[in-house]
Amino acid sequence: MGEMLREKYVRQPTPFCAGCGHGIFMNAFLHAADEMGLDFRGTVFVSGIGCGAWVPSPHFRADTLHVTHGRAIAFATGVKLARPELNVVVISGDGDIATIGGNHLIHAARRNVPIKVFCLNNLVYGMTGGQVSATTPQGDITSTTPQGNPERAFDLVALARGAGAPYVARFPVVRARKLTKGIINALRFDQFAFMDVLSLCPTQYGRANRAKLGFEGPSLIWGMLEWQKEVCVNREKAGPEEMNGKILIGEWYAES
Amino acid sequence: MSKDRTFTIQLDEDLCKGSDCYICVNACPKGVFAEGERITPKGLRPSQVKDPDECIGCEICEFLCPDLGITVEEVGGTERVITSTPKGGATAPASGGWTTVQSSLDPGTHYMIGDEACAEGAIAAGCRFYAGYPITPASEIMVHMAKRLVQTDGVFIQMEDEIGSMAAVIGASWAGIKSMTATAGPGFSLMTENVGYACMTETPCVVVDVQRAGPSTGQASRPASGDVMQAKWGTHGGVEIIALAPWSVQEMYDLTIKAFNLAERFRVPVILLADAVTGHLRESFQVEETMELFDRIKVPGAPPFGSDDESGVPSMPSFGEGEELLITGSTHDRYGVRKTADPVVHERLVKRISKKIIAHMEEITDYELYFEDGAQRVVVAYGSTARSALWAVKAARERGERVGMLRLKSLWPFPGELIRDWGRRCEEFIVPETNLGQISQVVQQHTANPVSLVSQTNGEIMDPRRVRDFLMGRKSH
Amino acid sequence: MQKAEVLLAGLGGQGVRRAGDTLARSCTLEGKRVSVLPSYGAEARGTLIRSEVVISEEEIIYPGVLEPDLFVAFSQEAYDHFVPTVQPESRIIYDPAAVTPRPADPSETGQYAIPAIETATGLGNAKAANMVMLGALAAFSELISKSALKEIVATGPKGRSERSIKALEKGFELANQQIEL
Repeated sequence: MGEMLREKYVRQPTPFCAGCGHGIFMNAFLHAADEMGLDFRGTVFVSGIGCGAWVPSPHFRADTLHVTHGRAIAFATGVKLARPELNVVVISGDGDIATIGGNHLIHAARRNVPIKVFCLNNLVYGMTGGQVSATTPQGDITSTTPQGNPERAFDLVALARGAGAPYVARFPVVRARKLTKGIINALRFDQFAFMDVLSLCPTQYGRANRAKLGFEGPSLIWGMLEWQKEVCVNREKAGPEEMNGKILIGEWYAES
Repeated sequence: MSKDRTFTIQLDEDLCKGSDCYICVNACPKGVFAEGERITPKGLRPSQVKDPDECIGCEICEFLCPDLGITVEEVGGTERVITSTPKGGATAPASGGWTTVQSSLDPGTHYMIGDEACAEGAIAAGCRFYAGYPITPASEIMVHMAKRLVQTDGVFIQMEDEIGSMAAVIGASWAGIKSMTATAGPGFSLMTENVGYACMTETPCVVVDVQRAGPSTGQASRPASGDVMQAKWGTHGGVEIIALAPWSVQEMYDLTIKAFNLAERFRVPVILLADAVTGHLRESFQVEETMELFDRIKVPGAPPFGSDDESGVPSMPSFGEGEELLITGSTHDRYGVRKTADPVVHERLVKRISKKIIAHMEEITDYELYFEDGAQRVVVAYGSTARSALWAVKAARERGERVGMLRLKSLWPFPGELIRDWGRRCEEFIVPETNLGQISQVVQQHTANPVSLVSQTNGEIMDPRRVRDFLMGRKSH
Repeated sequence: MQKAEVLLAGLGGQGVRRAGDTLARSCTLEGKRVSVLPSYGAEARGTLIRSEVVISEEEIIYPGVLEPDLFVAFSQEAYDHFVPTVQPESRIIYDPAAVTPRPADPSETGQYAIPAIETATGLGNAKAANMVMLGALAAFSELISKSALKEIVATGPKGRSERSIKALEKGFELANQQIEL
C-alpha cells in the first residue's frame, strides 16, 4: 500500500531526515485519504514555512499553496470562503501554526470556517536549527534555550477548544492507526477541525534532549517513538492518577 | 492476523533512509526486518526483509515508515485499489482578456466620499472578495464593501489583522475571484510581507493604502504621502510594482477599476496610493454606461509560472481545475516546483516578474499635463497634493510665470522617460510632497536639471499658497 | 464665476460634519460643483472638527477652504483657531451661547450671532443647532438654497427631518433679522 499510495498521491520523495515524524504523518494522511476516498482534485492543501509545511508542498498531487510563515490558516480562510465547495486542508508545523501564526489559529477556531488544520507538532523549530517553539515543554533543551526552556508550552488542544473549535484531536504518530482514523474523522467533519499531531524531530529535538528525557532503545528514533507510547494516554481511559506528566490523546467534539 | 495467512513485503531500498531510521526493524513484533548489509551509492544502509514468513500482516511497518517505502500485501488477499482519483486532466476552458461590461452603478453623476467611490470601483471591476481590518482613514472602504458584497453575492470578511487580510485576499484570488483589501500606513506595513508573496506568486489583487500622517500611529485621520517609497520598496527582495495615485473622488472610482485591470492583466498586486484627503473628500463623480474590464488569461495546462517571453505574463489557472498547482513564495520554475538553490531559475524568475511590468511601461503609465506651453519650470505632483499644486500653477500662470505641471496618476513603475523628455525642454522641476521628499528624489534620478522639493509634513492637505509662493519666490531672484 | 468657500468648525459631536455634508448635498441638487473636506482628530468626541465646503459653478481644483467667505463657529476653540484666516469682506456666524467674539470693528468683518443651541433646544433637541446654522447660511449666500437644504433634510427619518426643517427655517429667519439690522 505504501508504494501504491506514493505512486498515486506523491510527486517526489520527501527530503525529510531519517525517521522524521512528519513522514509518518504523511503516510497516515495518505492512508486516510485513500480509505475515505478524499477527492484530491477538489482539495487545496495550504501550508506555511517549516518542515511540516513540506508535507503537502511540493509532494501532494493536488493544488498546493505554500505561503508565508505563520499565515497558512489565513490564506486557507480566503480560499475556503471564496470557493466553499473545495476541501481546504492546512498542514504545517507548531512553529508555523501555533507560534508565529497563533493568532490566526484562535480566530479560525472562533470563526468556524470549515477548514481542517493539522499541526505537525514536533516541539521545536526544525528547519531553522532547533530553536524553542510555543509547544516546547518547559525545561527542555533547544538551541535557543541551552539551559532549558524557561517558558511554559501551549496545550494546543486546550487552546483550540478554548477558542471554540468544534472538533479537536490529538494523536501521536506512533499510534499510526488511531491517527489515521482521526484524520478521517477530521476530514469528514463539516466544520472547523484542528488536530495536534504529536510528531517527532530526532535531528533537532531528539539529539538535544536525549540525555534529559532518556529516549531509550536501540536507536534515538525508536526511543522517541517509545517515549510517545509511554506518555500518551487515551482521554477516555485516563483516571486522575494516570494524568501526572501524561499527554491526553483522542478526540474532543464540542457539545452542540 | 493468524499464521494461516502469508504476506509479501515490498521494501523500496531507494526510499529507505537506512540505519538512522530503522523504525521498521524496531517496530515489527515478529522480527521480519533486519538491519541492512548493503551500502547504497547514497551511503545509506537500507533495512532488509529478512524473514517474510514470520509476517502476520499487522502493517505497523507500512504505517510507520516515514518514507512510504513499505507495502504489505496478503498473498491471495483482496487486491487493494486506490479509491480516489487524484490525477485528472485540466478541464477549464481557456478564458480571459478584455470585455465591455455594463457599469454596476447607474450611469450619471454620483456623490460620495472617495473611500466609498473606491469600493464602488471595486464592485464595478468585478471584485467579489474583500478581507480587511479596521483602520482610519480607510475603514469606510471596508464598511461600504461589507454592504455591497452582500448585495452582489460576494464574500466579505473582517480578519484578525492586516497580515491575515492580505493572506486571505491572495487565497481568494487563486480560488478564481477578484479580491482586494484596503488599509492605511500601519496596516500596510503589516501587509508588505504578503504583498511580496503576491509579487513572487504572480497573484492579481488590489491593495488600497489610504495614506495618513506617519511614521507609526502618527496622525490617524490626517493626510500624508509618506508611503510612496514603501509601496515600491516595502516588501523585501526588491521587485517592480504597480502603484496608482488618485487625486479626486472620480479617480478613486476610475483608478480602482484600472488597478483591477492592471492586476489581472499583469498578474500582480496593484497598490492604490490614496490619502486621507482623497479617501474622505466628498464630491461628485461620473459613471459611464459601460466600461472595459480585463480578466486574467487562463490557458488550461499552460505553465502557470513561466513564459517563453522573458517579459511574459503566464496563464493563471485556479484551484479545483485539476492543474495540481504548486504555488510557493520560494523560488520556483515555470511549473511552480521549488528551486531554492538554482541561480539560473532564480534570476530568470526575478527578472521576468519585474520585466513584465517594465516592458509594458507605456500601457501602465498614466499622467496628465497642464500648462505645458512654454513651461520653463515644471511642477511634478501626484495624489491630493496635485490639486494644491495645480491651484498654485494656475495662480502663478495668471501672474505671468512660465510654469507647467505634470501630474502622475501612476507612480510605479516610475515614468522616467517623461521626466527625461521634459528635462530637455524645461529648466527645472519642482516637486511638492506631503512627506520629506520621496518622488522628488526619483525625479532627480532622471534629470540633470535642478529639482526642488516643496515639503509639507503637518498632517494637512498641501497648502497651495506654499507652492504658489515657492513658484513666485523664484521669480524675484 | 460664482464661488463660495464655507468653513464650518466646532467640536466633535456638534454635528459639524453632518452640517457640511448636508450643505454640500443640497448644492449638488442645484447642479453646482461642491466638495467637502472633513478634518478631525482620532477621537470621535471633543476635538476640533472642521468641514471645508467649496461651492462653485466651475470645476473645483483645490478642495479646501483658504479664505472662507462664510465661517460658522460652533465653539470658542474653533472661533479662535480660524478667525485669523477670515478676510474683511467675509462673514462670521457664531452661536453666542458657545462663542464670545472678539470686539468687532464695524467697518470690518460682519459677525452675526445666531443663537442656534437656544433655538434648537426650543424646538425640542439641542442637536439640531447645526441645522439652525445651515438655515442661517442660506440667508447669506445665493449659492446656498434653503429649499434645497430642506429637500435633503426631508430624506432623513421623519421625526428628525421635521425638526430639522423647522430648525432650518428658524435659522434662516434669525439670519435675515440680523442682516436687516
